Amino acid sequence: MNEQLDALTQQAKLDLQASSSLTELQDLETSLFGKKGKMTQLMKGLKDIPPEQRKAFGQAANKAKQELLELLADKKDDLSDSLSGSGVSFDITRPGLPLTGGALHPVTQMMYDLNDAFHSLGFEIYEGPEVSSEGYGFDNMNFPADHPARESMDTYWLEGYEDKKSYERLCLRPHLTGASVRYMQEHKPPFRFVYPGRVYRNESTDASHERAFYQYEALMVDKHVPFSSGRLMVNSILERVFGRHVETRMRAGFFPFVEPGFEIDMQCLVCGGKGCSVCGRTGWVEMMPGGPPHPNVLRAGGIDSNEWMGFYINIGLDRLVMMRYGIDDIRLFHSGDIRFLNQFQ
Amino acid sequence: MKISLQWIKEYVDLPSDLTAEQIAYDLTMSTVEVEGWDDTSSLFDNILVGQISAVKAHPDADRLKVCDVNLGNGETKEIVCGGSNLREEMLVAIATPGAKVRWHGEGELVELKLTKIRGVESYGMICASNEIGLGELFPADDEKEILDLSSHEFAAGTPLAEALPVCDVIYDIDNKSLTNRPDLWGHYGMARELAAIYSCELNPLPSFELPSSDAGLKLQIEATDLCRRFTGATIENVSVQPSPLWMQARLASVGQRPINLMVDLTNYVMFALGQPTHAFDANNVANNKLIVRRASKDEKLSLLDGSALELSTESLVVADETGPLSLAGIMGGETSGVSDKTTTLFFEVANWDPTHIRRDASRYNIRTESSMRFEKAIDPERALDGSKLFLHLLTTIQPNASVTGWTEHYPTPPQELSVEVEREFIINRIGKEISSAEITQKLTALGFEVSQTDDCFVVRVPSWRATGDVSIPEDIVEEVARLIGYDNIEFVAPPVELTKAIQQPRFDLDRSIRTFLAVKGGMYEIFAYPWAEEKFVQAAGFSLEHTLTICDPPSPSTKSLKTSLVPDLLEATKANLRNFATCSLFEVSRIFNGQSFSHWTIQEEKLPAQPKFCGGAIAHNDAETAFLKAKGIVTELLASLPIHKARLQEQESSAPWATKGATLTISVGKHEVGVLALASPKVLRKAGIERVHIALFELNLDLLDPKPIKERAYTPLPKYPQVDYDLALLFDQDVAWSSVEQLVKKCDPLIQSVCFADEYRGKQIPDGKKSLAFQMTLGDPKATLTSEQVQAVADKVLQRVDKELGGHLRDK
Repeated sequence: MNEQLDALTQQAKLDLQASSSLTELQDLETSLFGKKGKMTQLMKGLKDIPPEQRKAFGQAANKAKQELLELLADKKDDLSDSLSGSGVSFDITRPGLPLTGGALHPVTQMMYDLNDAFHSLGFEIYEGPEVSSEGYGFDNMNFPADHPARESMDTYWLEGYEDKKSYERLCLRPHLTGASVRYMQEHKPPFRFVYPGRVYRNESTDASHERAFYQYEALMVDKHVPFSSGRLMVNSILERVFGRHVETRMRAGFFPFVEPGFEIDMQCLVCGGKGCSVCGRTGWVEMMPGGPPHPNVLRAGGIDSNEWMGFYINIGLDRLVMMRYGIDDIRLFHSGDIRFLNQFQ
Repeated sequence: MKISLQWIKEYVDLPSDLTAEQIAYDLTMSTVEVEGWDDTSSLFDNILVGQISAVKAHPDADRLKVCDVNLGNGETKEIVCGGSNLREEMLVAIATPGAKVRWHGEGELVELKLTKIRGVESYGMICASNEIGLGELFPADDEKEILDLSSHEFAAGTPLAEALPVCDVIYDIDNKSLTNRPDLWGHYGMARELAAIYSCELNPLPSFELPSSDAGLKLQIEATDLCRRFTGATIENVSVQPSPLWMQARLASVGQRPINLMVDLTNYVMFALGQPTHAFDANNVANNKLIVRRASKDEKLSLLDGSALELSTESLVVADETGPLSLAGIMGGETSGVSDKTTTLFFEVANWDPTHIRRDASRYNIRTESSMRFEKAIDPERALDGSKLFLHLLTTIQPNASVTGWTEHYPTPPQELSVEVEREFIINRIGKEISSAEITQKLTALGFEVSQTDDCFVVRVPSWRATGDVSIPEDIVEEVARLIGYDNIEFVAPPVELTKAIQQPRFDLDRSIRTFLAVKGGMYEIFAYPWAEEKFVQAAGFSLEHTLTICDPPSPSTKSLKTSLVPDLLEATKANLRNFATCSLFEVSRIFNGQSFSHWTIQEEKLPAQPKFCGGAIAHNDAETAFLKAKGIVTELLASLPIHKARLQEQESSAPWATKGATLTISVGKHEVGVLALASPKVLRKAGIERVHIALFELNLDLLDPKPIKERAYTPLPKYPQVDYDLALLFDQDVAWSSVEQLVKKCDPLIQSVCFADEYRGKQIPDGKKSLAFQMTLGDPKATLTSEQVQAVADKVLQRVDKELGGHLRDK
């Protein structure tokens, strides 16, 4: 009997291994454990065994049966452990189920990246009003009284206030820098802060000009902030934003509210400085103006320029975003068009 | 502005190994932005002077000729040409194979090859002036006219680049980078910068001895407020003829077409020194008297460009006793200028009030090379340099010309300007150790006079930098730093003091809201302009009265600043529905209230209220879906923020766009902070939006009072199992879920929560009824519930709902 059980088990294991379909496996299971199955028959023979051997054989047969059933179940799973075997059928090449969509505006995303970068350097965030006055737009910014920008049509003056002067002459802010004087008037140095926001110019629009665009300014004021510190700040921020080392250069530029004024260029990321159509073959891309606040600006902010120094940078946010994604039309930012916005999820 | 390197080299001997590119880079870094440059020398490779020895008919083409051309060294080649002015003995420019030409002066440069033209082999081409970039220097009357060099004594075979002064490097300077530097609007000023950058000598300008008599020329300066200086010279015995080739080449190289010696000289002086000048024919000036005055009422002036002006009484003219001769500082008059017959000149070099020139030029919309320079505040001392250079050149070119008179009006020369600055001040700001000697050397190279006592410099500002450009110690720092080179300043980290952590809940709130709506709400953030499109403002039911308005708006229908985000959202939704069946948009932006003013920073400045709002729009073809989606987003948004608990209440709001009965007001703490509602059918119709319903919400973020962090408390998990019990009951249709929920919740303390599952109206439901399905979660914190307890609660609920709200089981 024991030999019979061994042989049967041996053979069953071989058959099990050889079966290649669920039907074959089903047949094998019936041939072993069905009513007339070999194993069933063998177990039925138990009663003919001498009682002293019966217990041992019974245990052995049961063990073998459990083993085979486990193996059968494993094999069954193996055979059905593929899509076709499981009885379920679908096309795995279909796209995954969509999420609900939705996205922050790409300019907002860039603004948050910059906020995080400046936050890590200990800058806080500030916001000024969008309807502001000539006082903060020009007077405090060291624009001479007869500066063309004051009378030109570049600024959106508000009706009913256009003939007034200074703080009573209201406009949509033409730049962000005016807000820095508000901050200076409200805080005591030393301080470092950023003030992102939208500014307005009355001009005709095309792929690279908008009437409303975003600027991102940073100002630090401390006892000792030489140009060299300003340049380090610029580099730290750009590296954080672009995720790698970027070469910058600072060159002469002129803006009334800084003295001296700088144009800060970044080596073109498209050509690596070799010169290409994006950078006008110069290898450099104009990124931002900057420089120490003009003493008159500090004075307007209530700060003694003999005691304190500072450094401004003013980043054109739209332009930075356009560079980041290769966007070729600035007007898309205010289009509200989901076909554009859903590319930045 | 164009700058010629050859012209610069007349004033400064630059190191011979300097490349054009290096100069462009150094100028850009230290002084002005060079946008590009052209090296013209390679343009004339393989172009020679040739002499035509025979003009023969082309065997196969009536309009073409075959010329024998002497190319020097005894070499004669046949060249096919269609020029209209070909003749024997003519000196011409020959582009031989390998030369680059521009066909008919248009398109890209093309390299010439030996080719057959209608069967005849042609050794290159005989060039028209614009085919080899000489169109400015030698203007042609028609396109078939060949450049005729016969008036010059050139030997055949001479490379054109040697024969003509045309090899140069032309820099294109960004005018915007020059606005603060009136001294750089001419070659001499640029030469001074380069001399300083490369530590070279700047050559002095030629001198001229001015006559002591006025030779009868009288000046009458009435507008003394606008005329700072006026010099006049009388030059007799001049003849108006072409200027010498070198001068023509100089002017052509910077884009100025040569006209005749007198006109060219005025232009030459302007491009050399940045000082505009003007020449009158003395015969056209009545009684030898020039008057500087404001124009009278109804006065007219015809200008050189042919335009006729009706002068404003604010305009400034140079006139004689019969009327205006020129628009001061901007453009000369048609009748008083130099003509072929001119023999005596009155030559004007003046200095005008820059603001006046800018306003006057923009009044008539005339911007000239002259007005561009005068509006930058030119150094009045330069007028004398201008006079002397003009007179020097004129009398050198025409030795017979005689300068007989000189007179000027210059009542108040500007005072000398000095700036005191400490060495430490300079070093602290630049962030680099610099010796006193180096500071002195850099400043001296730029024309500043420096005297030093201990560590304090007294810096006298040269007149050409003293018209507003340099006036404070910081300006001196800039001069030193830019000559040292900003590239040579090392990075130094600013000292950082440990400060307390930055807590800005209000900015965090803004960011949390936007991030929630985009990421969890699945909405797209849009930017819209602060001015509102009238059509959508009116569609949303808002009034345009009392809004703030823009003087010169982007369009007549976008005059008003927005008072709500709803019109923007309607407009953007409408546009997106062209491409999408549904859409979800939001915007965070300020709105502008023209009725409420208060100070923002200082008392003197009263600004309109401009609170920050957040608005959203969800468009869907099913009204219920649109509304409930918006409600879900707003509810969860507010619950996620670190603010007091928000309440949404069924009550009418003042929002004119809201549908009655589908409006919830949103309150936080004591404030009503916003509204959520379906846009009414009227709003959609007026906005031209079809097929969808739009749920809109608007929140005033300034009324939210955020805490630094969201406070959340952990609730322990139940110790004993809880039981979910589902019920579906029939109610009259007007029974609100909220009343069912409130009632069920208070039926028994074992009810932990009541959760809405489904609402159904339809076939199996009797008319006027609806089925509400919900789930109660029952639990006892101290014991396991028995099934009897559960059933008792359920019975109690059924009983009370039936009694108080008329709800009962469906099969009853």
